[in-house]
Amino acid sequence: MSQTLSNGLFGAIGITAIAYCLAAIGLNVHFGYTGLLNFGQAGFALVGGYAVAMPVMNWQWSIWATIPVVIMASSVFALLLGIPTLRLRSDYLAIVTIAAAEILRLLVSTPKAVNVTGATDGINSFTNDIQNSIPGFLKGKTVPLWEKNISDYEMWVIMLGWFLVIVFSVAVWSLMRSPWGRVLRSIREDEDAARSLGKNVFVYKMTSLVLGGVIGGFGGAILVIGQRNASPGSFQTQFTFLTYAIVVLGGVGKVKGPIVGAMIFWFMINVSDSLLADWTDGSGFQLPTWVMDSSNFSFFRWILVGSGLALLVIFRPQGIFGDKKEQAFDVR
Amino acid sequence: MVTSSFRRALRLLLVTFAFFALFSETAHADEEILQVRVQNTATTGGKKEPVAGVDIVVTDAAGATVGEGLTDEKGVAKIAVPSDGSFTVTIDEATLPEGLGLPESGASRTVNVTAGLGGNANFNLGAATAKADSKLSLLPKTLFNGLRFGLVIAIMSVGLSLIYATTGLSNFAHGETVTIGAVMTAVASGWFTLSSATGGWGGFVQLGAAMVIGVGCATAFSGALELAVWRPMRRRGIGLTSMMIVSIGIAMAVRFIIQMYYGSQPRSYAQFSSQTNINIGPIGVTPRDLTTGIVALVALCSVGFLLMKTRTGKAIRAVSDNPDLASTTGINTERIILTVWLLGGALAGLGGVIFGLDEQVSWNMGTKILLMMFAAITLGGLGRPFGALVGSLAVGMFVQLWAWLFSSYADLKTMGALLAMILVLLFRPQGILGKKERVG
Repeated sequence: MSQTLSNGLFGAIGITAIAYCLAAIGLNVHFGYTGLLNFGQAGFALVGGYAVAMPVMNWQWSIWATIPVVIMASSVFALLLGIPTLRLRSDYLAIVTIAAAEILRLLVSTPKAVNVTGATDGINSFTNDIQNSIPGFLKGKTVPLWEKNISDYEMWVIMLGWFLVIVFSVAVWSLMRSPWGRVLRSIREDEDAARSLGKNVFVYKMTSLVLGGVIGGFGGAILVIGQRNASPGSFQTQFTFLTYAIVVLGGVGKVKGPIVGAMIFWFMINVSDSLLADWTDGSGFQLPTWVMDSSNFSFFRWILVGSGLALLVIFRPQGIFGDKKEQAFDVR
Repeated sequence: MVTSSFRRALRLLLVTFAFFALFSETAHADEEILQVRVQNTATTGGKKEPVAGVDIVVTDAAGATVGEGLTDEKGVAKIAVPSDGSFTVTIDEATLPEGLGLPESGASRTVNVTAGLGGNANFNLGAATAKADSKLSLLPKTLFNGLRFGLVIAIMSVGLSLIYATTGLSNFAHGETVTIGAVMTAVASGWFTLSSATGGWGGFVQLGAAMVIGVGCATAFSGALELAVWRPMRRRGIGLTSMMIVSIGIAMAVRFIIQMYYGSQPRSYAQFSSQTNINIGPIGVTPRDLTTGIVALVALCSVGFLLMKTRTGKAIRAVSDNPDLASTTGINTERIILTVWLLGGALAGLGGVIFGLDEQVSWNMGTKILLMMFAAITLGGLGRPFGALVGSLAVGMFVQLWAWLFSSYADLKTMGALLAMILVLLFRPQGILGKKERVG
């Protein structure tokens, strides 16, 4: 049991949770504050991840020098997506973003690009600079988390990641209290009203798309650094949908929503995985094999996530801590 | 209200769950997996590069086809064979990319499949010998394939488009309706082979019966979702964005329920056998492809007839133009919407069965084709049923023409279709048949 719980805790603070949390902060800017239906957050994360891995691998850049590349690449992707779609009805943005994310994934997967992107196997060994930058008090040590041991590299990435989460959360919090943020929310509530007050809705939406996209790009960057591998498999459409689940779980349009959502989400995933593995391993309490066995229990988490997302949106759309009055989506 | 719809949703989930659990026994028969890897070593300077999209046929000692598959982006095709033993693996030369030819050892080799371990075959392709077929001579076949693929997408996406038109919902669970149609047909096709021989007219009838079961399940799934989820949500006044996200959640849950009990391995229908081409003019086509093409065409024509000529069809068009106005004229809107869900489910299921004949039946086939469907209905004009037809044909043609024109980039053919959709949105956002005022 303590094994299960420490797995859950590790999930809640671990690299995956951080990466999804950053992606969710970005998505919250799009979806929660501006009402943009971005279904391509996986694409932004992919851009961010490959913006880190490709220069290091192909042109021997220092990994720290790729930070501006992440910002620029995700901004360019946001502009490319926004120009054709932000003037159209919201469901067009949804279709175009999901398609664009898939286009990117297919492009980096193609065997023809194997020398640049590593095709389906992706890019490895681009994280030496991170390894070398581990501070002295961590170096060579493992950090115990209850029954789980975290390596020095993982711990260092976790620290960097949570630093980014805090920076971006504070930035989003203060931006949303500014006049700029109020215009975003007015666009979400009533686009025509915002336009009639003389606001250039298109520009506001575009800046929102860029800001959230850049934050999502950093999510992808943390993910590939944590996994020490940038491959297209990490950025499937599912990435976007999990990010939606996290945003809805934590509360749409809340600054703490993505953080709380990501922690609870990955805690539950890891606990359920751990429990089901225990219940199908052939000793102690066992689930009947016609329900699930050791070969297929790992799919159950996604069944849980899918049905959880559906039930949450139907019965508690404001998420766990949200306020129903502030519940953001579906105002238009 | 809240608790009752919660219970209904839960019950639906449990029933689906039990339903698939029921078939899990038949699914895990004593099949073995034959893994075939196709690599290019000839034109890469000694490096091994995977070759995707190569058609692989597996025949048993008696010469009967037991499985067929396409290599994925890793150059690997996993093909299920019914038992252990010796099998012949053949690669189809026509599906090799430009510049590459058969390995020196020839197109086929014999592989021993061991119980529990499966079997392996590796093909290292050689450089192309002078090709018998010029590119131009492949064009008629490409156009035919594009038309056929377009028709298959069309039957699936007409339902998606009708649902969008009448309820405003972009239904992400439509891909799973497609999968259910194909998967249940595959499972049911296994029941019939237990009693009698396959192949010939017997196999045709058996597959037809299995198809009725598969399409029935897809229809039931679609209708049940409308009754248990969408109708209660509409009554509670929940908005369309929420409903769209709910459909994503349902799609995900159902997809992995299927993976859990159907398995991750793609399979063919039990009656599947390889057929020889018959020539119609310049086009060589298997009787199977011709039959399914005709079935798709007939299904589409009947839908067109239904929409244009019958009372129900007129009501459907009225509801999609303006639901409130339609209900004031005495049309039972809720009943029309249910009809649309049932019709859409049946068509999606039928499309899934045909798509499962073209490729293998896998747990995520619907998800893979879903974006093509969305591209098709967006291209044709969102919410216009005949737009879905036009858009689907455009997407089908585009995908096949891309593979024909850029044969060494054939793995990017779906990317081409998605790119085309985005470009069309730039210049004609309402789609090919859309009305201008519906956008923006």
